[in-house]
Amino acid sequence: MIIGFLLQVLVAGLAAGAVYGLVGIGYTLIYRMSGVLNFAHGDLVSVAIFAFLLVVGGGAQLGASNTSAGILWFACAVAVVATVAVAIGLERLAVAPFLAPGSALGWIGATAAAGLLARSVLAFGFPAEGYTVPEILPVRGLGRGGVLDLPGGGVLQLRDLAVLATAVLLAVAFDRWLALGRTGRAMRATADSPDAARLMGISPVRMMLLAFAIAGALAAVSGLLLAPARPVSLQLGIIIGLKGVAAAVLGRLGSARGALVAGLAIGLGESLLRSASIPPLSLGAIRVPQVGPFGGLHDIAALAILVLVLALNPGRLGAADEAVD
Amino acid sequence: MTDRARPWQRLAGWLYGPPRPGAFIEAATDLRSWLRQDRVALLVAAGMAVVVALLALADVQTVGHAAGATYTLLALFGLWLIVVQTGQPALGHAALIGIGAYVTAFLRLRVGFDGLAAAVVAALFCGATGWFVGWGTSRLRPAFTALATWSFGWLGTLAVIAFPDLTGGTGGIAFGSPLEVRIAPLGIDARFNEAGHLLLGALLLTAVMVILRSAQRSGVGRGWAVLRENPSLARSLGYDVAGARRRAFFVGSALAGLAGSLSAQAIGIVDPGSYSPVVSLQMFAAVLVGIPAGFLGPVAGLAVTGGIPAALAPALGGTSDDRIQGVLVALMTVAGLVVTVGWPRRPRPVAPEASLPRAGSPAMEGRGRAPVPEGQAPALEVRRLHRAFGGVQALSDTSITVAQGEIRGLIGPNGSGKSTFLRCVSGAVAADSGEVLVNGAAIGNLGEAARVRMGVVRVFQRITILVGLTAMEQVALGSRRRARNANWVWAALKTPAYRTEERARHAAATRMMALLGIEDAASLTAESLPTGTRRLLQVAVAAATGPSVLLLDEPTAGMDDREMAALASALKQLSEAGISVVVVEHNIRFLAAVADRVTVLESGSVIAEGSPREVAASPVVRDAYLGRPLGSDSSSAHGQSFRPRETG
Repeated sequence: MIIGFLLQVLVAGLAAGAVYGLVGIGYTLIYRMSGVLNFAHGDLVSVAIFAFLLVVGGGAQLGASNTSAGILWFACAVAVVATVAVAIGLERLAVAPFLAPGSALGWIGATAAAGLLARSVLAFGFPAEGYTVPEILPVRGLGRGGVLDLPGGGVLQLRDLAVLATAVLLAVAFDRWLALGRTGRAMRATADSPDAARLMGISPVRMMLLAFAIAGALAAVSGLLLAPARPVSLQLGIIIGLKGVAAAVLGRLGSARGALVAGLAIGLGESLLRSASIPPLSLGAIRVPQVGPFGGLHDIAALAILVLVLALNPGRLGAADEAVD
Repeated sequence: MTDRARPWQRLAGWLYGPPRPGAFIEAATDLRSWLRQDRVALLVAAGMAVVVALLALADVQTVGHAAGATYTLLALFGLWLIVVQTGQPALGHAALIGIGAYVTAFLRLRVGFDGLAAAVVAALFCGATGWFVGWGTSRLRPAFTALATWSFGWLGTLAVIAFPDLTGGTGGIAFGSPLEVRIAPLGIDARFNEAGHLLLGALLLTAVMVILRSAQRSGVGRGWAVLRENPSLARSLGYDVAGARRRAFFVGSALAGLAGSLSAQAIGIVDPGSYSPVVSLQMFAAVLVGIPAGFLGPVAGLAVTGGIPAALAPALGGTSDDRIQGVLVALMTVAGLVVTVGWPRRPRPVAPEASLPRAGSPAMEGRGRAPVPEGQAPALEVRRLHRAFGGVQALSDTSITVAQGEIRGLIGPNGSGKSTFLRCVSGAVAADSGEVLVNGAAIGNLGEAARVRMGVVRVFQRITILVGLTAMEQVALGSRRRARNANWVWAALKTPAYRTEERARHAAATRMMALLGIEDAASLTAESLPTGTRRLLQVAVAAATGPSVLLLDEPTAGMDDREMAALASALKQLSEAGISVVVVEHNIRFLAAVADRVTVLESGSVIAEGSPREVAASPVVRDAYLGRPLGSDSSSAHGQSFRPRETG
């Protein structure tokens, strides 16, 4: 009986988690290439969502829409292209000029301010608290309006399955491309040593741009995958971005696989916090009240874990200012 | 001072030392010269004049805005201390302001504190919170400090939404009554209106600015510079880098908490919108943008990123619409950062040639004596040191004993473990096993800074100098660790004890520079000095810490003959003063001139030890450097004399 419910929680969590993983892969890629943690990355997710809304609805408040599939896919393409363009602009204007002088304060301030700029520009078109994003994935026709009833009362959102599959597929494809592809190898070489890569005829500048473009595209896809399931505001991108960076850091900022696995774990944990509870117990005289579900805490949990990990486990993250001599 | 001194005399004695003729005149002169030299004092006075004018002339609303601005500046100076002075990117400052406000609301509404007591407790609570944030981030790289504080700020905002019962949710908490001061015995029962808040804010701000300014211009401020610009160097000179970062976080966060408490009481409401991560980011940008304005950076930064947008927004038709202001704030922030980081630096003058001893001077002749005093504990005794990096055994069973006042050369082929040896002895790298004893005391488990206090000081192989400080200031940095009165409070109060120490420190720095023959460079910034002089400066900084064992890693790289002669003569004088020197060197001619004994390392093990002459003649050493000829045992010659690589 409980199996159906568990499956529901599991799939919902893994779907969200895989998307956090995609965002985390973007953070990891940029970090490995430049040592930069992109503080505007979450806003790239927002850019994608609202670029999509702009094309589909011209900015108007959308209900359950019956926009044709062609327009939806066109809007997706526009959103991805726009996000990639913003990501490249970000690299040129907010990252590259601040890398040379050597101080981290410059790029930290510049990326964070660029995110603020993007958000304040978007606020002109989308001032309200919540927007509805039409469903992109073709799941409505399947099951009972996109929902599969499970034995024992659980329901399986088919869109969650589709999101999970898409995100994992993208992550694995990126990982394999990085490991085996010619350009992927060039990118890893640049991450290891830009100077040595330059001697091999690789342009580190172009590789950096490519890294930002890929990270931007992954952020855009993440936003488009998650947005239809919930009301969307300008803060959503940042929240997703924070979970993505939590996934990246918990995944040791070293590989796409690490970020994906950590993202899945975060998503699963959130899903459990949101819906699971320990029923009240009475052991003789002792009565234990019901614990959970902690609906309000699921956004906080990942962040709190991130802060704790940073504070307690600086091993690979800190200690770099020792490496001067 | 007798035992029967009155309490106030004891306090004065504690602060200012025993009474000394002329001390008060000196203090008065000092204050006058500070007022005359420092335009900041003038500007603070001008600011106070503006406050008075505002009180007299402006309407209530303007006064209220001005009061809010002074509180914001209070918090900004706290952030300035954390970010600009100690180099830690803190992106969660507004959250600390918010904590101050919420703690105040809790204390006033639930516990029944009066407003000022609540403000003080809130400030201390925020200081403690900031200290913990600093504790967590002090070992992180800047990127991760930024991430941790940014997450901390978001955690605060999300917590407000997650616990509406406790925080009032997004609506905030309203205070019923204004800030009151009630001191019953004195019959004081005052309520603060806008003007009262402006006066209180201005007074607090002035006090904070005077203290921070005073600290910044003292040895404490030079300490901030070294830990901001180069934490490794700071550690190698005995600075407690993590501790200094935590202290900066404590003070900066306490200021934020104080500002949050008072500003919430000024407007009568705890408004979570004012403590959002966006505000944190704006404050961070404001102090960065203000960097070119020096000490007045927070004021300038607030004007650029907050004042200009607020002034321009109505002109662009956005009085009721703060979206225009939002874009302007973001634009000014980005533009300000681009200008700040691309700020043109004035080219520095290049140093004239310092007067160095000539090559062929007595300094470059061999040492006549072998100073190995009997019956004393050796200055440095290293027993069976092991250190592996992955599968590479960098040091295996390395034991070296250096007598007091001995100059010991350490040679070996590249990769033989020389630098690793120095790093293990100085504590920069932990040894896997083995013992290190200094003057007979085991120091194997101490950190780098603690070892400096025990007298083990290392000079890096890479040239590490601080941009913008003069050579003299850098040498004074080295001597700071022996100072007992060089803390914040003493520096801010400029107590005579502090001033005496400061003078002694400069005298010692001057002597040390003269010893190394670089006294002509004293007032020049270090980046304008030629390579060899920079290396001499590095040795002077390390020697100024008063070490008993000085560890030098290839000090002659990039030196010309005269600089080498100066270094040789300085090392001999240090050795005569009882300081032991371990010098890693490739230049055998230099070692022959200065070293009493030479130890040869190969693959992490000692393969020979003796006088420079003995070592140079040793076939084992020759084989280590040049390799063994095929089919011959190690004792057979291969027709080549010992010829070490000459560098520099």
